[in-house]
Amino acid sequence: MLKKPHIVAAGAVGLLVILLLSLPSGFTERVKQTISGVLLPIFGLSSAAEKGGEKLGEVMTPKKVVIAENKKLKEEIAQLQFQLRQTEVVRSENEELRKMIGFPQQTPWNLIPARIIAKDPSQWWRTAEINVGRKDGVLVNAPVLTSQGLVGKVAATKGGTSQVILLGDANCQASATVFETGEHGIIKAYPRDPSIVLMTYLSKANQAAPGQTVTLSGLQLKPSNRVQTSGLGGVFPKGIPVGTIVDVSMVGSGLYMEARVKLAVDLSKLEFVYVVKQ
Amino acid sequence: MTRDQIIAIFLAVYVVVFVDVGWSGPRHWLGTPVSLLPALLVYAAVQYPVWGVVFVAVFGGLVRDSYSADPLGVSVAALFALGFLLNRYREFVMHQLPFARMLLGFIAGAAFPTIGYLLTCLVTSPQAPPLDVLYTITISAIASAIFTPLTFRAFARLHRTFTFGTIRDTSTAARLAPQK
Repeated sequence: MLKKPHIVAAGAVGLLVILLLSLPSGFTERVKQTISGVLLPIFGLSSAAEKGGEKLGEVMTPKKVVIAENKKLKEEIAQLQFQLRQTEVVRSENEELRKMIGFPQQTPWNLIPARIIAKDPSQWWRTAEINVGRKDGVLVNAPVLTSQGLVGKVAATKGGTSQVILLGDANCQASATVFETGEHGIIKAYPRDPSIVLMTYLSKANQAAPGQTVTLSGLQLKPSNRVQTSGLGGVFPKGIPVGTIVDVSMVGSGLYMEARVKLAVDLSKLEFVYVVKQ
Repeated sequence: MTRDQIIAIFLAVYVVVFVDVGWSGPRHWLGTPVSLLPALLVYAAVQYPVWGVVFVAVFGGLVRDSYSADPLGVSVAALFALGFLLNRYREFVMHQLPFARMLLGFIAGAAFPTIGYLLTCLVTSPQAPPLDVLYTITISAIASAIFTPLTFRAFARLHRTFTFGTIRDTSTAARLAPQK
């Protein structure tokens, strides 16, 4: 026989769970945002401790190492400045041509630097929490990236933090294009390996020889072909690297092709990201 | 539950959930996240009344779910179901023995992600290959088997540190006094 406190406890928790599971999704998100604020003080403490550790490390670094690093960085800056000048020439030329044919001007990305503060505690989702939110100008669906490539998109924002859905999660799809062939496809999750995504709905043309993966453009898809965002769909801007093709296979009873794409960014070791301010 | 017990369990849940979501060490090394909540739940179920289990399940589960894409309430249900059963039948478990604690931790560690996954599948459709889920369950069970006896030890130490121990009266008068 159950004791009275057991019956009361089971009834109360049962009711709470039923209530929580039947809440509308928008309201659930708001409740989640409110509850997750409970851990913010400890995240702040941990971040402060990390910064303190970094400062201590800076003090402990020998001067010789700092001088060598400084020299290397100066060389790198000189090289990058040269590249920047070249890019500026190309950009002004591009703007001039756009003006001539009446194309709208491209606006440069406004990036917000952010740090990953938490990762999804469940293995079956790929989401992360970042330390910038609505008050920093982050909006839902804003693309998240690193210097290597695309990371994902913002799923929900609150005051000072946001939830990011990483590439490879079932809820994060992107329209992409193969750089070498111009072929369009959709990036979808590949549940078996978190470092790989699927690029699906790639067109298929007649093969000249067995085993060929020829697209309608007449070009063949090959491993190591680069994949980047296409700009279609309105969420991700064009030209963000996604990864490189590992292999291509025929699917949908031979109606279209699917490529496995190795992600450009190692999502398991992600620490710092940028959010594109829209 | 005493005030000290409530404070201790509150702090423990707070720190454990922070470690679960904020520390990605185990994820790097083992390829899957490891939760310490089942170990804490076993301790609460064995040592505290049912309200201790309610506290760990509701507070721990809600904060955990708020950092996850899991539907809100899934972890609460999984933790409470486990803790409730353990608390109800704790008289039948020899929880004083370290091996029994380890075994309880193993069972709780395996059951928590299993129930959580099954409940998540009922509400939404997570994409995870069965082998990955099985691996997560195995790692969680092993980690929980290791951490459960440690949790008992840590709380025992805390208890010894923050409570007054009974001192035996060694005076001659006490020795000569007739035993009641």
